Amino acid sequence: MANVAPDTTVARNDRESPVVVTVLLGCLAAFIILSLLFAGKAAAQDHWTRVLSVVATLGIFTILYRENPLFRFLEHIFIGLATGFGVVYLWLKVMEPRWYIPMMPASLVEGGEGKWWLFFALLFGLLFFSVYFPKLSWMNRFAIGIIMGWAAGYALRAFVGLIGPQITAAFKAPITKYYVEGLPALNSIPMTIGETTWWWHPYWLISLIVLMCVLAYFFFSVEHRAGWIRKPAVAGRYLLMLSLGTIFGTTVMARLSLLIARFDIVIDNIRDWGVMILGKM
Amino acid sequence: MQAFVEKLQALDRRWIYLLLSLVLIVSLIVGKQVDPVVIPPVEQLYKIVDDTPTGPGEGKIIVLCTTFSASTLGENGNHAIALMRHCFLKKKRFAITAVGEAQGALLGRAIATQLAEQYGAEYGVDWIDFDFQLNTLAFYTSFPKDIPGTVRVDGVQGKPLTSYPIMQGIDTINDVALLIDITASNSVFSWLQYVQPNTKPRLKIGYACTGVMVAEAYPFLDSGQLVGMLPGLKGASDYEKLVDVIEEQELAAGNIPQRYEPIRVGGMQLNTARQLMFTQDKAHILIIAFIALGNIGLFIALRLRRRAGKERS
Repeated sequence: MANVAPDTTVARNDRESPVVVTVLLGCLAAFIILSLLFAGKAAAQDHWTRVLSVVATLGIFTILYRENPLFRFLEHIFIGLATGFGVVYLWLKVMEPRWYIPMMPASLVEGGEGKWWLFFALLFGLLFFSVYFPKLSWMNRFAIGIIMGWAAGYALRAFVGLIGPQITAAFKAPITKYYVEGLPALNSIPMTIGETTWWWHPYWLISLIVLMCVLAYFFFSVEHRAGWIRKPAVAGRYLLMLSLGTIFGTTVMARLSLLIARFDIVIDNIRDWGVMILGKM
Repeated sequence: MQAFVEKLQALDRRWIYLLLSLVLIVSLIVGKQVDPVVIPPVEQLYKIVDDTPTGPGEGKIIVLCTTFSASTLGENGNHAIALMRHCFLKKKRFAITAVGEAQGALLGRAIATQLAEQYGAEYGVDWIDFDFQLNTLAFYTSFPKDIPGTVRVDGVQGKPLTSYPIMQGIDTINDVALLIDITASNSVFSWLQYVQPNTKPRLKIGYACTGVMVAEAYPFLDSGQLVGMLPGLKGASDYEKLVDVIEEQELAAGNIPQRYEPIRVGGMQLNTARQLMFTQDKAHILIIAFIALGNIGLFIALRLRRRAGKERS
């Protein structure tokens, strides 16, 4: 009796057959040639982009059936394109306008500012690569040391800035003398004691109980045997499970949204092509 | 019965993929718009955008960070569209920028350009593009002190920021009425850590995140560090509903030439969030059914095994 779902994935084998390699490389060559041909022609480029988006989406989805060469081919193209795009974009948008052009003299580069001292930034950056030369590897400590020191100083300040308001917000009195707007279902509830009106905030009470239970679960200085610590600790564990379940639920929701968007794009394009071929239906 | 339960437990996962795909395809083709109940964090952000003093002559701007890539267009793309539509409809001046995500700069620009065309907004007057910025500590420390000096040139025409009418009087982070991070990453925490604590009054930060980040962000909403949030596709569809109401009013008053037409980004048409939410609802029902079925199968199998054990003993 087998009560385990059959494994549909096959051990990855990066050694493709020569036929598959030839076909896929042919596709890549055709892809490059067509992209060059369509460059600058807006309408043709738009159609080409749409064809590519549908083919790439469906090709990547083939992994759901099983591991296959088409998926690997598209995966490598995607990673290669993303890396190439990132390098070029970084040069054009950051390095060139913020470092190269200001550093060069106006006589050599249009807009140059002749700030020659910016050249030392390159030398500083190159210190990171000294790690590849055993005799010079000690030099990368200068670069790493400065950056780590700067980041550590900032991280401490940032931590206080981020967590400080969280700690303040965690201190919530369930009964106060003032009205606090809550969520619609359990808003602040008035209670008149004597001549004074107090406000009871059920959400804050829940928040306090959950906080104490979860803290009890993580409080290991006392053995969790006595009822006063064991019971809240167990409750804290279940409450943690509940919050982890919520995180998992929202993750599933997010992944579904992305899948729906991809399906939407494929369906829209196929519908458009149908209209183009068969005329308006 | 036992054979059926065992078969159910050993069901090939590809059947589940196939069923889910069928449900998605059918509901996308049917393509109805949902009428969602707007959740409080969305309503909060909507009110804050509405109340910001960012109209012409009011001296401040909104900064929309489009820090996302094509992979999360379904969620973040719809967030960006809904927020920008709101700004264009209510004449709220805004800037877009992508911090650390090169694709975000291109996508944000493509969305803003097409929406500006639909609503008759002018570049450099109603909105501006701060382009791609590096996600470094240096950016988060220099941007709040000197916006035109840090960004230098805009992303559409490559001219100095100070040459645009929208940037007159916009120098530091104090001139930013609201910053909304539309992102699939945790980049909002950089704004919360490095920028917000150094501002007085505290910089208002909104968050339009993917569903994955929602649970992590709620405590920041509770503490007031975030002033509002658009959680995932649900947030986008809620905000879209609120914006659709304004659009109808503006259209009736003759202030805008046309209703919003779904736009294309990089050859891909972005359908409305409310349409996508219809499909998401159906997918959720199917997943809940799968969970119930799986659990029922497991309990029956356990009971049968226990019974078989008792009979053997």
